[in-house]
Amino acid sequence: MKNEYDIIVVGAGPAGSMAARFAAEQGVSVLMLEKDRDVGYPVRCGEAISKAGVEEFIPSDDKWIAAKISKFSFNAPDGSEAIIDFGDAGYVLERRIFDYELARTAAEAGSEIITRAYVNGLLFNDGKVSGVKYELNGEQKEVKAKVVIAADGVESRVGRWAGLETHIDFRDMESAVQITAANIPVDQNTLYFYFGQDVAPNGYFWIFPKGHNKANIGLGVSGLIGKKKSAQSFLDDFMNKHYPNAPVLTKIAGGVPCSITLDKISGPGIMLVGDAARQVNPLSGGGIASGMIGGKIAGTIAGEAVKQNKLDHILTYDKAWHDRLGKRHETFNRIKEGIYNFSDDKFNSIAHSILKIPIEKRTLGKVFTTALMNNPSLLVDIAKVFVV
Amino acid sequence: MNYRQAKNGKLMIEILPDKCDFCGCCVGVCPEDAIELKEAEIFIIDERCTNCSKCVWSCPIEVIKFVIKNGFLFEKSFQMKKMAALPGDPCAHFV
Repeated sequence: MKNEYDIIVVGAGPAGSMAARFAAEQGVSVLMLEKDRDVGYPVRCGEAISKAGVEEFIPSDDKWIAAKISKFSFNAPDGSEAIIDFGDAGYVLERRIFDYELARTAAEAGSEIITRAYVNGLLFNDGKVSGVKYELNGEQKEVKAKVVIAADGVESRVGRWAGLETHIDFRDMESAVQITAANIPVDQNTLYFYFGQDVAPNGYFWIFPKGHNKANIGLGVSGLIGKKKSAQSFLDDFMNKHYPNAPVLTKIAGGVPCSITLDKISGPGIMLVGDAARQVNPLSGGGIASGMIGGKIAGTIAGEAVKQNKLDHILTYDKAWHDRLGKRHETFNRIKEGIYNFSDDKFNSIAHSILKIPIEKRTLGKVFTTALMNNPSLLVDIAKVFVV
Repeated sequence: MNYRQAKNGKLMIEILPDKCDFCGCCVGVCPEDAIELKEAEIFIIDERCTNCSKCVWSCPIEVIKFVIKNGFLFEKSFQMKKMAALPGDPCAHFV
């Protein structure tokens, strides 16, 4: 290990690993620091991802695929279930293996990785971020860098130390809790979503199969709801009602920042990626694929900037991200704000209209137009969503 | 009553580290950067906390709470509300 690197990445999740990999692939020196003792653990994630989202970065591999997903099941508050078949849609991952493999690709590209290295401050030179302070084995250390890429997750503090506004409105924070349980006899190729005031107001409840009747079961609720009832109590209620004796293999809490991307995700010597940059899809709460895309863009630009010795080049990252996904997330966020206000009746009537379409004809477009025709008031809601 | 000191008054929020999952929701919503989180270690930085309560509302598993002492619940703006009879010693968790 050296005392100076071209690029330091803070956090070894999917976004951090991709930033490290795409930077290192350009021949610059990269160090990735992870605060936990393991890369990929603990897993704070529902673990579902689209196939396309994965394969942009790594070929599909059965060792990190827990379940292959072809169908989505939407469950309305009155119990109606609308199933939509998407074909070869995606996976439920085994994140603890998946994250390892992503970090391996970063290592193969040439980056160094250290775990249990807790970054607790930044170094500055002439107003620019010039490295990090970190704690390793109880010792306080420093390491210099031309660019620091913060991939330190929902709890990110590196960005604020660099002077970027990163704190997230508590109403946009989906506080989530999830168990991985055994003996859950659901279809192993279907993602189940539950909506309504009883199960997850202003959010959704999920059951994602993980093979052999294991499943990730959890929900996220906004801080506004959490004020009155916590995610934990919602989960307890659901489990007591539906699976009172299910053996619990893992229980985890987590936060999903369901908002648009931060106003600024780069500054002198600093770039933010993944949850730290709020690059999560605000509608679905999915952040693996979008985080990897953010990491790839940031790592590539940082590598180019160092190679060309033009460090100001990293400031082009904001626009590059915005063009690839940021703008789309703004649309998703408006849709989210519309759906957040849906009543249980509205969810029920949407489910009923989907059920009228024969299952083999339920494409996303058909579902959407049918829902609209049968629920004309939806048009008003959608119009509200798109009128800024 | 011997409370720790927050930025503008007494610290009215406590984290129960024994029950914490170290997920970072509270750190993400804290407007003051007043929560320190390592791998399995968490604490409030007293001199930055303003008792705004956002961490309490965002905690998915209810391990951040308003301080309860002597049967009183201290909420933000430092109003006291008498609690219904509490089982056991409500002070047991707190420093």
